[in-house]
Amino acid sequence: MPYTTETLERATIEAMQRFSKRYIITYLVLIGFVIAGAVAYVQQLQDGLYVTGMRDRITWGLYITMFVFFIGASMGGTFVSAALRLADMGWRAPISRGAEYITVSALLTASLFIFADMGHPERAINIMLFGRWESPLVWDVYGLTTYLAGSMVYLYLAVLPDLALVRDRIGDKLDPIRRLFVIMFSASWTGHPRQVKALDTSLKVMTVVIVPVAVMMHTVTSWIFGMTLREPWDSPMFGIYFVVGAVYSGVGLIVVFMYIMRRANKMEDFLTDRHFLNMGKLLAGAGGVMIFFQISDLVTAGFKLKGDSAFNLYQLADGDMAPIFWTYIWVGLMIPLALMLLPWTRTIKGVLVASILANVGMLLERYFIVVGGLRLPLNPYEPPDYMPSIHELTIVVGLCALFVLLLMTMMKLAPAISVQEMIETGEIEAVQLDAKREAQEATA
Amino acid sequence: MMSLLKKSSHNLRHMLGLIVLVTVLMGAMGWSAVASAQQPVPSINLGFVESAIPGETITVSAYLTDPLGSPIYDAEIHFSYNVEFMNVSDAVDIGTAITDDTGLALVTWQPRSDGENAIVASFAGNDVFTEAIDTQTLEVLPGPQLYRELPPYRIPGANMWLTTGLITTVWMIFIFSLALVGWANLKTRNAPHNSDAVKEGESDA
Repeated sequence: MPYTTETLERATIEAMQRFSKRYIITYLVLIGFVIAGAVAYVQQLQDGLYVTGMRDRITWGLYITMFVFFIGASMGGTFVSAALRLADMGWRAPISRGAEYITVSALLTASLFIFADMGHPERAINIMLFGRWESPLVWDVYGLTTYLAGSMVYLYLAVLPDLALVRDRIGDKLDPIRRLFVIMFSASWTGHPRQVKALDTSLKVMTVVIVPVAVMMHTVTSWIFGMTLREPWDSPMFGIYFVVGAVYSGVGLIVVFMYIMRRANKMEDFLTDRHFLNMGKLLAGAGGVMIFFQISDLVTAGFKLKGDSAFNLYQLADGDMAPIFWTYIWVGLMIPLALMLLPWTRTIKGVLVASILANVGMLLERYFIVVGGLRLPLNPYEPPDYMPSIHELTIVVGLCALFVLLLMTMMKLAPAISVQEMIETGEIEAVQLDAKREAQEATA
Repeated sequence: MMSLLKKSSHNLRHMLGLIVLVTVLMGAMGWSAVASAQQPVPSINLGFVESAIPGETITVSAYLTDPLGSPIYDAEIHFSYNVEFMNVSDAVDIGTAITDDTGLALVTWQPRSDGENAIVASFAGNDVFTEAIDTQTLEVLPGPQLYRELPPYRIPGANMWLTTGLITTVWMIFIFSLALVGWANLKTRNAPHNSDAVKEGESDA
């Protein structure tokens, strides 16, 4: 089958128009989860944070864990889309749109987790009005809003030609809401050389700006912990540790998204083994760096056992946090790396499994950083315990469902593969070569 | 008539029972009060240095004796000091100690800040003796403070204005990027569509 711009356009537009029974059922189930989460949240607002498992000593729990996790997920999107664009890696083209969707959805979800963690969300504006510049929480609020705005602008600029394509090809056939959306946001894009040049310049500028903004955002998130007077968080390495961890989990999340999109939209021709294996290499690279940081951190702190860091190391090694910590090390870091190093597991399914495990591992890592750090008693008490309540879990599931809903909605508003980027980077020819090679291998 | 008599007798028995119960209770309370009043009142005497400086380890002692001046041993003495912080005053624990054969209980303590510190030693009482308390003031002289404020750590040039400028610049770049494309779109909105040109080319072919 010859892969041309037309076949790609047709495939992406068909994917936009296809509302399978499975899609609709999934959508409705997710809406159900979101409603359940909203009901639990209203009850939490009425009764206060007492309905959660958090108390005076464990003041941050699952909400902040999920906040850090989703901030990390967004980093993967920026890394794949913008950083690989800077490095001029053409193979990113069919992945970058999904990565951009993940960035924006993850950032919106992450910000909602902050609201979930607030007893009085109506006072959120006070941090803008009366917040002290000396506080990392204020930096985080400004960083998050800047990163979210930048990611939305970046996504919009990247999706603009494709929105115009949809408007021109199937604008009349779309339902009124999507038609209005496409007409409104495709502006007056016609593909005129002057427009193309302006867009190219804007995207280049945004690419250069959004990568440091993303890195800064993750560093500032790590500073919320690193600048608190708690020994387990007292590490200058936290910034880069969070950034690499974010790339690791973010790349993994994109792989999962790619796999589902490929299966659901029949995109096997455009998302080939090569794309998955390249993502697998990125995952393995980030995972390797994570292992290196982990060893470096444990050896230097463990050798000295200075102050209260001893408590943290004991609780991780064979204390209350040990099951979580060792699951993270083996399931979240070692097994994904092994899956990518062994030739016979270096397949699409292998990359998928490694990505899922990486995300499970990173979720556990965020948990023991947040909760484990707070377990350290600052007075002569027993370390406190924390167990998320049903309310908390319902709100967390509801917000995770909202994240998936946002992704599913975005995929129906604009093409899930960037046609423009596929043309620019010559990926259409590259996927043709992939198909030829696969055919030759099958014949052989 | 008989039933009326029976009922009266029943009520009378109830009333008598109640009177006996109240009498017993009042008797018990009275006995308790009398017994309490009869318990000897011990005396407790605090002792420590006249003055100290913040951070200096001092020994706080308390002698517990009965009314005749004999030592009371194996009694728990609780030591605390009164603190006022942000308009709230409360007692902060120093520690507890058990009196020895001479009635002496000892704890060590480091005063945290200068000024007058009211130190309290208290005995909660036991089966034999009632409670006792003594309060003495320790003058803590000005000295090196345990909580001292360091001069702010500043990176030359880094301040709120720099941060504000940086964030504003980033936002301006976002707006510029959008505006650049918007301006180009506006300028060329009446130019022929690229897709139209493609279609025309296809039809020509």
